[in-house]
Amino acid sequence: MKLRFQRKYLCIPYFIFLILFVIIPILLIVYYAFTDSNGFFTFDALVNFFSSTNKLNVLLVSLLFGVLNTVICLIIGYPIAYILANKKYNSNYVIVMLFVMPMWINFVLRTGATRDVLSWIGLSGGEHPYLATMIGLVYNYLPFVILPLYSTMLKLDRSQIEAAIDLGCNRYQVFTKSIFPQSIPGVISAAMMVFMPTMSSYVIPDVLSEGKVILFGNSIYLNYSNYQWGDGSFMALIMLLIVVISMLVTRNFSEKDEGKASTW
Amino acid sequence: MDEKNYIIDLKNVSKIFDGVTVVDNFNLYVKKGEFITFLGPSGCGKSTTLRMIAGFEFPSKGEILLKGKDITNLPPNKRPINMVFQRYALFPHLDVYDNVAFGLRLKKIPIELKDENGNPILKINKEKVKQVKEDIRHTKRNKVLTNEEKENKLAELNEKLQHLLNNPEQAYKYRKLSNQEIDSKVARALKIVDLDSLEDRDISTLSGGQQQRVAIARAIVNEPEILLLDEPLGALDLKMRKDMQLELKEMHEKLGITFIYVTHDQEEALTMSDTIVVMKDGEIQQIGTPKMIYDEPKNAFVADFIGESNIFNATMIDKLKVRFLNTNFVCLDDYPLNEKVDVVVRPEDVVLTEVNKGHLNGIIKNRIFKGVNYEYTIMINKNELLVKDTKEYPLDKEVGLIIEPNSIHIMKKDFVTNIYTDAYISKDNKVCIDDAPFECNLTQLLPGSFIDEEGYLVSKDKKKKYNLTDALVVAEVDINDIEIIDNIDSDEAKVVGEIVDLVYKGDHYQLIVRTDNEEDFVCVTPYTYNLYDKVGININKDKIRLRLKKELSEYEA
Amino acid sequence: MVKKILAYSYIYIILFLMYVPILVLIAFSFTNSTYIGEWNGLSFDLYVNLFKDTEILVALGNTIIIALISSVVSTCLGTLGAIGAYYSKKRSRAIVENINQIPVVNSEIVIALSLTVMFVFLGNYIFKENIFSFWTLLIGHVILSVPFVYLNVKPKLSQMDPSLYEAALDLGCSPRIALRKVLVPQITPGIVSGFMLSITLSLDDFIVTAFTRGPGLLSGEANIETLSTLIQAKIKKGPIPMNMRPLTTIIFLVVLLAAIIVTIVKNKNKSKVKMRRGRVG
Repeated sequence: MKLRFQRKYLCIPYFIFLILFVIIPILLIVYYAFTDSNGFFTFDALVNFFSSTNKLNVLLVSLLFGVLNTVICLIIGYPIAYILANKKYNSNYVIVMLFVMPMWINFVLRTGATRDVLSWIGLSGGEHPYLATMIGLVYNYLPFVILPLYSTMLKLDRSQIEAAIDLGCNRYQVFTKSIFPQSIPGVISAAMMVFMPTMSSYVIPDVLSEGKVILFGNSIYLNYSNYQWGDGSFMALIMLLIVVISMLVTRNFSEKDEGKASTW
Repeated sequence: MDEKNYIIDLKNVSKIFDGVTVVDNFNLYVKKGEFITFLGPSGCGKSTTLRMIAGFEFPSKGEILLKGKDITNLPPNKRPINMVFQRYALFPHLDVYDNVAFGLRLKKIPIELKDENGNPILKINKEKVKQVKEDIRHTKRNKVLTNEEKENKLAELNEKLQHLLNNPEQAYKYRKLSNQEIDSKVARALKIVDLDSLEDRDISTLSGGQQQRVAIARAIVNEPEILLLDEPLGALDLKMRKDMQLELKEMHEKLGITFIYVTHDQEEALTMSDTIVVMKDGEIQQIGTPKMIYDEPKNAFVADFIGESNIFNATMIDKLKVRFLNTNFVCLDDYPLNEKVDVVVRPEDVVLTEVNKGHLNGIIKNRIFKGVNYEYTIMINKNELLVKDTKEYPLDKEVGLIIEPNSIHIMKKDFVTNIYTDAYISKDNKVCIDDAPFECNLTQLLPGSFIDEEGYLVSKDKKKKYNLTDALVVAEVDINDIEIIDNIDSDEAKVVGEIVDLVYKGDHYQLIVRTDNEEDFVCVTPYTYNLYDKVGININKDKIRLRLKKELSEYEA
Repeated sequence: MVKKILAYSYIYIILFLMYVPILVLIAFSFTNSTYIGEWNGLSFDLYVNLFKDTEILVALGNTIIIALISSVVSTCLGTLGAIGAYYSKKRSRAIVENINQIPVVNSEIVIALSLTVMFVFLGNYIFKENIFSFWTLLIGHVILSVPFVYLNVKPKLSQMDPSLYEAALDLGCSPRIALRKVLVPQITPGIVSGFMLSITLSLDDFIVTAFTRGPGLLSGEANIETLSTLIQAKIKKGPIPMNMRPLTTIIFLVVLLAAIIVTIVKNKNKSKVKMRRGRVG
């Protein structure tokens, strides 16, 4: 029996790749999170996590940083995206490109540069760890907010806005009743692209606070380098859980990951 | 007919998709050089049939012969058949020239050599033969294989060698077309479609009509035996469409190849075709020349679908006499006495005259000026009659109507199914047959759909909503599915009528219940009724089959 | 008018703030002071030193090699995957799509950790030796970028007229040739943007590299060092190394050039003179 070429067979290598390097590793993490060093089933990691004020603290601080960074980035980025997408102010792509460009420069280098400049002007991480970390996070994630917002704003239905004006909305009402509701998918995908990575970021808090601010990412990294695989895996699972929950919450609003994919 | 003349022959072809029969036992032959059109409403299986001829779908049953050779399971790239697609399917990354040259660049032709007398000889591919002979020698010397394996392999190789020697075309040497050959063929094809000046243009810069021409050129340049056209004019505007119809017809005459054309536009089919195949629900309804199909429709569906027509229930009352619209007419078709028949009268065959000077009288209810003539809707009691006449008459005037014997076409009634061509959907999603509302299942119009609380029909993916109120439909009910209600005052009796015909058929009666509006319900019952009994009629909602007269998309909310 | 000025000044202030750290670094690449903020007069010493700094050059080389190889692999794998999935049955497509989504939404550190755990597991129980090497690093980088290739190619496939492929078959292409001559040209923009995105993701990555790397490439017996890991190691101990400053200038110029090219390509209208082979006269 000769196997006839069909286009769907092209998917097979990719599928195998995904199973091997996405699914199996996650299953292994689940395995390590619930077994001890002898391979027996245990809830040790779970008990460790929820009984350690230290770790719960890390969770809380991470959530706080995640929310704060998301909100600040949105507040700064929303007007930028709106102005860039509005034909009245801007009709070319150059300024958008200028906002994208920093993303192409090595981010560890940028983080280092931020720290050096901050300590030059007296905001060193040693003295102001939280402030320095926050600045670093906003600085790094701002472009990730502007891009998805910009692409949503480009697609705003201008005739709907005109209709709102025609129906007697003032400028404030036009914004709250027409522009903002239309841009919600962009806001959601922008928030998704900032919130999760902030929580799990490692380099930025590590460098900018000189090790004083510990977020989820740093904690997992530490656990891993100390060979506490059970605890590390369990925290990774919690991270996964948060991802899944936020995905489910935002599922109905968001456009399908257009933001990150539209960097180019 | 001589079978050798058939270019393509479909024998008992059926296609079943996920348990749904889309094409049912299709039998058709097409003669060389014919312009044949598959005509039918959307979803009737015409495109699927075309795609089976092209090779994009393979029949579930039956076979397709091309010049007598079985091509049922041949992939599309191996068939000498080319297609013009509905939305043209031009390659956007290529310009006009490269689009047209696409097929030629893939084509391989046998190398022709001349012998000393100047006759062409085909050069046998000696390399191929040599290779097989070599393989045989190797196998013979092979010491790893067991004897049995060796024999099997040798047998296989010998067969291959024989096959090569017996079928020299398998062993021809092939070559690609030269650039000069391609260029001259492309230039000729572009000239045929009047696009020779646009060869360097990108596809996106062309108008719809020009794209259409490129698509045709791209197909005919390969000199196919058959050209398939899948609603090629559907995306063009009306005027453009008319022009293209004529051009296609001319092109067909000039090229002399077989055209198989698919459309749902009856006018297009009538204008262009030599032969029309009318299809419905995957079955052929009628095959014939445009004139035959128009003048002698085989059944009510064909009559209704082709051209405008008035269809009435009628009864044969005497030899060559038929009664409909409460009037007796002389006719030319002979059917047995008391036979229930359908009568078709074309609107242009009715002549308007003064009151009482025609066969019957009616009142003009509506008038539309159509340019060449007026289109009148005339009420005769409770029946409507569509008439086309060049003279102007005022509204609400009573007129006489002349229907000559040769304008009355009688068709044998299809006694399996009651067909109601003037049904419509009421506000509460019931189907009104003879103005009486029957519960029905609207979701059959769109697979997987459902009715939401507001009464809209919602598609499966919840993306589209349709408001079907007042939609005109054709309702069909099998005679076995009509229930007779004895108590005419009960709620179940949706319509009340009189039994006007009663035939005993061995173990059951087939009877016709006629309502006051002269609508007939043909049904069967094991019980005895008397002629002229008054009975009620009810129909189970799932037994009413509905078909929209227009496209579903027109009702999108 | 006032609104316009206001809008523009807001944008330019934010833009300026975003570029400050890089511009400061670039500015201080033209002096030879140890610390930023200390100006020792104009000097190009650092540029000369950069080309003698093997540590940085090795890391730079590694970074580029990994980015190129992993992007090529990701692009091939992701494109084939997208094509295959698009033409599969709904059910199998949904499965591939959902798995594809996992690395997209998952945090980098979880991806890195899970992969590492698996590599250690494989090393301990199956290969019986440490398997961390260039190959594990490559797999890490591919996993990072391949879902985005998929996501870039997929919309191009759904925008394509499905009868194009059939038209190619109809005109005599075998399925393979139809794929190459018609399908691939149609989705090329998606493939290119997927490739570019893969490169940027790979160049920028720190976490996955730090977890999955082993010895190899230009680093020889030592663990592979990329720019990210090298800079991270250095800035944990002190300021950004002096020789990094001129490298920043160079990276900035390359990025600027890339940005200009992208902008030009986006605005460019194709206009080329066509030559017909086979045309006589």
